Amino acid sequence: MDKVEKEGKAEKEELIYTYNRELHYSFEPGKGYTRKVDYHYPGNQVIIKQSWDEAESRLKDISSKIRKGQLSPIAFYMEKNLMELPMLSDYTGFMQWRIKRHLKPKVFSKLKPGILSNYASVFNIGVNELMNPPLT
Amino acid sequence: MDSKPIMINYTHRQAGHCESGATSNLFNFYGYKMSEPMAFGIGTGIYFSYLPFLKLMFAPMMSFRNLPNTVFHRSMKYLGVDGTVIKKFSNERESMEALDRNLEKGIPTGLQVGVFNLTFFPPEYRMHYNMHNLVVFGREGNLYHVSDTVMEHPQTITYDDLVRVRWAKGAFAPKGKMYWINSIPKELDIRNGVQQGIKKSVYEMTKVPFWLIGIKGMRVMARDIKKWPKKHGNQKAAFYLGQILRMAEDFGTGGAGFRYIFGSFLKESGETFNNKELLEAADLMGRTANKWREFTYLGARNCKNRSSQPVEDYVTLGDMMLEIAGMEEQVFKKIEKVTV
Repeated sequence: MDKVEKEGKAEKEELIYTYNRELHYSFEPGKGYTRKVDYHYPGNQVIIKQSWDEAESRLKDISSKIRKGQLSPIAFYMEKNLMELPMLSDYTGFMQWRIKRHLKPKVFSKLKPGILSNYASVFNIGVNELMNPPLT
Repeated sequence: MDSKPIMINYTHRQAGHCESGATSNLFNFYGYKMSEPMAFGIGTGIYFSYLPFLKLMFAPMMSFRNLPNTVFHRSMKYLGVDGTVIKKFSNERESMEALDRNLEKGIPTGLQVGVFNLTFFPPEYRMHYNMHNLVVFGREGNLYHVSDTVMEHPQTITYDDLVRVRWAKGAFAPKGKMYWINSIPKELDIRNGVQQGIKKSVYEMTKVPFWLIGIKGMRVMARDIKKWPKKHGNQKAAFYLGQILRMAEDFGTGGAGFRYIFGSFLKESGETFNNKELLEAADLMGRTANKWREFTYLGARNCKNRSSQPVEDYVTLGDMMLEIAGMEEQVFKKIEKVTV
C-alpha cells in the first residue's frame, strides 16, 4: 500500500475543509494507540467533497427543469435542504402525494398563502424567497 | 422567563465519537475518571449493519454504530449507575422546560440532536443525520452553552435553533430525547461492566441471527460492492461507494475510527486487569482499523477518477472488505471466551 500512502502525502496541501479540528485515533503496530487533534485527512476530504459536488449537480439539474417549467420552486428548496419526500412530508405535515402535486408549476401557482408559508417556514425562508428561488 | 445566567462547571473534552464522548465527560463531571474508549466499550458502541433496501441520502444505508443512546444507556446499566433517559416529549415547549429545570438544578444534560440545523457545526457536515449527541451545561438569556465533542471548544446555540435540532425529523428523529446522570455510587464495578460490554459486543457482531448485521452484514456488503458497477453503472457505483466511505470516515471519526476506539478499550481493559488475551485482541483490532483506513484511501482514489475506472477496482475493494470481515471475526472469536 506504499503507493496509496505516497498519494496521500502529495495531497497534503489540498486541504479543502479547515473549519474545525477533530480528535482522531490511530494505531501503529508495535507502538500502540495514539490520539491526535487535526483536520480530516485529505483523503477523507475528497470523499466529503464528492457528496457535496453530487448535491450541487442535482441542484443544477433541478434549476434547469424549473426554468423549463417542469418543476416548481419547492423542488429547488427540497434539494437545497437535502430533503427527500418522506422527510418533507414529516416536516410540513402534508401527505406525500400532495407534495408531489405541489411540485407541478401549474398547481404551485394556485397554492393558498397558508400552504406557502408552511413550506417557507420549513425551509427557514420568507414566502417571497420561496416564490423566487436563486436558481443555479 | 427568568434571565439569571446559569453556568455549570463542566469540562469540555474533545472525543472521537459523540455519544461515548458525552458519556465519558458526564462521568468525569461527577468525579469518576472514565476515558472515552472505556465508555465506548462498556456501552457497546461497536456495531455493523448493512441495509441496502433503505436509502439514506440517496444511497444504501449502513451503520457502523449502535442505535442512538445505546452507549449511554448500557454503560449506566452495566456499571449500576443511576441515570435517567427521557425518550421523547410530547411537544417542544415541554422538552425545553425540562432542560431548563435540569440546568437550574445544576445537572449537565445530554441531548440527541439532528445535525442539519446545528449552527456551529462545520458546514460540510450539515446533513440530515439525527444521531448526534451533545451536552448542555449553561444558559444565558436566549443562549445555551453546549459541549459538542466534535468541536475543539464549547459552543453556544440560540433557543430557537436548539428547538430546531432537538425536533429534527426523518430517520431516528430525536423527538427531544434527553439524558443525564443522577448519581454515581462510590465504588464502580468496572470489571463487571467490561465483562458485560464485551459479551454484548460479541453477540451483536457475530451471533445475531440476521444476515445483514455484524460480520455477516460486512460479507454481504463486500459481495454487493463487486456487483455495483455492472448493476448500476460507474457513476452510481462511485456514489454508493462514496456513501460507505463517508459513513466509515465522516461524522466525528466515523465507522473506521470506532474500530480504533474499541481497540483502545480492549487495550485499556487488558492493562487494567492484566489480561494477555485482551491485549492481543487490541493489537489485532488496531490492525483491522488500519485496514479499514487503507480501504477508504483506496476507495477515495477510486471515487476521484470515477468516469473511467476499471471494474476490477471494485473487485479489489470487495475482496478487501472480505478480508476486513475475516479479521474482525478473529477479534471477536478471541474475546468471546475472555473472563476478566
